[in-house]
Amino acid sequence: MNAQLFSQGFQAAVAEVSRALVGQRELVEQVLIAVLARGHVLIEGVPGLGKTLLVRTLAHVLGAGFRRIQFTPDLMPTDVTGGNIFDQKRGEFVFNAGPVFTQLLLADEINRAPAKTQSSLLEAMQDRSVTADGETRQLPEPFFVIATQNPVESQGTYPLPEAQLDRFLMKLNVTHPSREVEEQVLANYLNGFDPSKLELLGLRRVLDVPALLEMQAGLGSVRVERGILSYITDLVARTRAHPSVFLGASPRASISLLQSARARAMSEGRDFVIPDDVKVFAPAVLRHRLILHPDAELENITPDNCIDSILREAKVPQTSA
Amino acid sequence: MTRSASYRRFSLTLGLACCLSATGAVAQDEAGLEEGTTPTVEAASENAGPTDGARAGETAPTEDAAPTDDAEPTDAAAATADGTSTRPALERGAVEGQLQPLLDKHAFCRKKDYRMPLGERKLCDLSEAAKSRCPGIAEACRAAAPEPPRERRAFEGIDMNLVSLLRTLVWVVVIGSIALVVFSLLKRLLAVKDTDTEDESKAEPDAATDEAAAPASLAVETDVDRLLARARQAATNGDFASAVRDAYAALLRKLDRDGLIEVHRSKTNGDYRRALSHTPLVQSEFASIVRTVESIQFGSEQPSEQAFQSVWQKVLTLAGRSISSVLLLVAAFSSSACDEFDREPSASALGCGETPGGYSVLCELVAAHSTSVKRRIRQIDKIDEDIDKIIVLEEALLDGDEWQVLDDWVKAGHTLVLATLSNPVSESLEVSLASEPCTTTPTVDSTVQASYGTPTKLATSRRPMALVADTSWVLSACDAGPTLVGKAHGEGNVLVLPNSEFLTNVSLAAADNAYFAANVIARDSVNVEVVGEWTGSGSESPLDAMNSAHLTPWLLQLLLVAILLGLWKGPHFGLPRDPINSKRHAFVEHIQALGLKYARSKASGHVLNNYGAWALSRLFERVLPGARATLSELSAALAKSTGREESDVLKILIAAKSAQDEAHDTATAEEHLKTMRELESLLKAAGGTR
Repeated sequence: MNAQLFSQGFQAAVAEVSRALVGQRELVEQVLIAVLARGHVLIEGVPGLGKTLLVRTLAHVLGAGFRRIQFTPDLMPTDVTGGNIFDQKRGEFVFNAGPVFTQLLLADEINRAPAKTQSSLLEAMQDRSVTADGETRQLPEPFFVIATQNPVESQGTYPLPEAQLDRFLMKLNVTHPSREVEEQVLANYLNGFDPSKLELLGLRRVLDVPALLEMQAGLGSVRVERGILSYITDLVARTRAHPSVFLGASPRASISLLQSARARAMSEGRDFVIPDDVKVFAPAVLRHRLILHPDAELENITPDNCIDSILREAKVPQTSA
Repeated sequence: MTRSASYRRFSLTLGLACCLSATGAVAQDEAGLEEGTTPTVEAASENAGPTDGARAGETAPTEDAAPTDDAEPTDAAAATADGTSTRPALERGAVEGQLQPLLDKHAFCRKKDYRMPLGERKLCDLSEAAKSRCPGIAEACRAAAPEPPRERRAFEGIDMNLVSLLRTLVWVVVIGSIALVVFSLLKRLLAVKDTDTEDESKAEPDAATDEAAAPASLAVETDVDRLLARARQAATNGDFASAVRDAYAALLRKLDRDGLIEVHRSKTNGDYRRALSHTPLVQSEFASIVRTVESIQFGSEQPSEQAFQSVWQKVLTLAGRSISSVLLLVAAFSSSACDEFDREPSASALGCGETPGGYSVLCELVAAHSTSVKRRIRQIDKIDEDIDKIIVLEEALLDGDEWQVLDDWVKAGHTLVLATLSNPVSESLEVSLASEPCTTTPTVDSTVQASYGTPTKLATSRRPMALVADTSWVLSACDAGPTLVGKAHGEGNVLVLPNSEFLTNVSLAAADNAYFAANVIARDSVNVEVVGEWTGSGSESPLDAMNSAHLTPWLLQLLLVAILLGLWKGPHFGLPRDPINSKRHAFVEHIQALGLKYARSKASGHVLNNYGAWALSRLFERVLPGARATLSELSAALAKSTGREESDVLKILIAAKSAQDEAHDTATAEEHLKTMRELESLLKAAGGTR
């Protein structure tokens, strides 16, 4: 797929999702880019900002299979992955597939389940497979996890383990909408918009699974100069040397940044990556992979602050001036 | 120079074709005209005889003059024997057409409630003569004078102290701006050097490739013109990749200098594009250039001449647009600044005085017949070469040196209009005030009037002053003597009036005064300066202006404060950044941070494990030293020493012991915390928490 076709499909999908989710175009673009980069997304924000609506609408527009898991403190790993159940009629164990066997999985409020349950997604997210009783089963293609979580300061939440966080391509923060956007949301409700009945909105299915897979495969043809690779590794290396960061980003972060940049390049109709592609997505890709020193936390320094300072210091390749 | 020759030159200089009529023969003789040549002013004026009232001896410079009564102003009168041309008398209709709009602008002419200043009430004698053009003046003269009288009668312009202050402020702003620009340039220069040094110092071994080394060397060049030249040179050499890069770099530097973006090595082209969001036109063109540049630098597009030309044209267009924007701003600033401060104030109606006793009408009349009119603010120490006429008003306060400068200047061949006496120039011309004032209304000299073609009547206040002037050319006179005379002085000429009354606004509104003044004073001038009470009140330099405005102590104190502030704060050695809030934390805050980390990690059991092991060890040491006791023995001893229930103590000890098996610890964080506090109380009872 060439860059122009990719861009057209991308823009059509964004426009369609934005019909249901008002005023969150940037968020929609970022989620879609993560999906096209074969990545998983962690969306953080207080309840009521349309996180679930975004994922449901996205599944509808992309024509992908959709399942939702509401994470609760008593959720068990097998409630996610499924497990072997003894079939008394047949006299043998039968695998009962969990909701993870889908194409677009919404892990709603993932940090409300304990770490044990959260970690049940590790293999699914990394290898796109599930192992139960020694037998590994492949998940359908494509497979994405879009998890939502409330800020960790909320009551009754369990922070995601670092290994789990690293599996997410991006962590996106959703903030409260502007006054104008909120008024538009209310106006839509007055006009009969019902988030539980998306079909009434007349949303079109602008992509399908084969097209999605083709777009994902198209990223392989995106050209990346050595200078871009140096820029990515420089950014990631700086996270490890930053004075406020206890644990910097992993090599997986570098790969995630590269893939995000390629997807962004294609979404803009380019078949080559530019430094801006990397810089724009650096915060989303890196913020959840940094563990700060306690002192830095006490000083209210956030990962985003660290990334900002890193981006201000790192030299952009091919700066002509 | 003979007297007749001087008179002729005087007449030509003043544009007074009429005056030449009296000296035609002499002029013709000196010009050596042959018979049959084209009639000249002098020739044409030969037929212009003196009027009945003219005193030939005073009017004509020589006895040879033979003016006639039937002289008519003709175009031929505009030509002289040596070919020099001068204009004929002004048309009365034209002067009237200029005069009435000028008068209409003045409050004393149009406002019924105008209050005549006390010091100008003597001009009310002219109100009857002026009321046809200036209806309000009669009412103004009848109204009571305002209190208190104005200290400055004629000059109604801006207070000169305020002018000095404004000039000082402008100089401060200009000097400050220049200093700011210089500082900014130096800062940028130093920043570039710092960047280069930093680039070099941070160069990593794997970055020492040709690819990385090239941009590093290019980072030094920040001059737009040199970058463009380098781009052209690279294109000429066929190195289109470098050409595109340099052209784009020039554009970035240009936009940076115009303040539209801030070039920094950490910024991407997308950052620059977003920074241009407030200038959509520039942004769209910039984005177009960026697409091409990036497709060459990062994409598969090969640098070609076509690509370079595309970028080159767009860069020039965009840079030009940017330049034009800046030039527009500069031009707007410059024009306003220059108009207000750099030039001498123009002879606006306000500047020359709009009251009945002011001179705004005179200034406007002169302006209408000359290239430029300026009020002389500066002291008269040097007169610009382009000034060809100076009018000195009665209120001018000039010292001896200034009069000397004027005297030399007139002798060098210029024209001076003196509306004041008792000065070295008039004394050297032997012009003085007559002992008796006029008892009749002054009349225009007959030969002068003959050139106008129509009767010209003058109006003055009651009993105007007259002059005593020997061997001069009378232009108007009363029974007591001439009221306006002209005299040659060296190579130049001087027109002398007894005072400025004739030139005031209300006077020029009366009878044909304005027409007469326009002919004898205003016309045929190029650059005129008006010297009045304002002259010498301007400052030579900003320092003088500060002194005259009494601002020096204030500014010195401000400067001192600035210096002290600079010494206190000190110069910064790098890019200014917000200080890092690195306050020292108390030990308890570190403990709280550690606890927070444990709490977030759900590791309260681990904490209890560590603390419990230490606490149990301490309790055994303190309560049962040397014995290999069990928990129940320890609890019994503790219960005995503390007075608590043994079962309660045992529970605490068991909870602490159980926490050492973290894998099977099912207690909550709150229970862990409670156990630790209980252990702490036991430790206190057993001798302390340490």
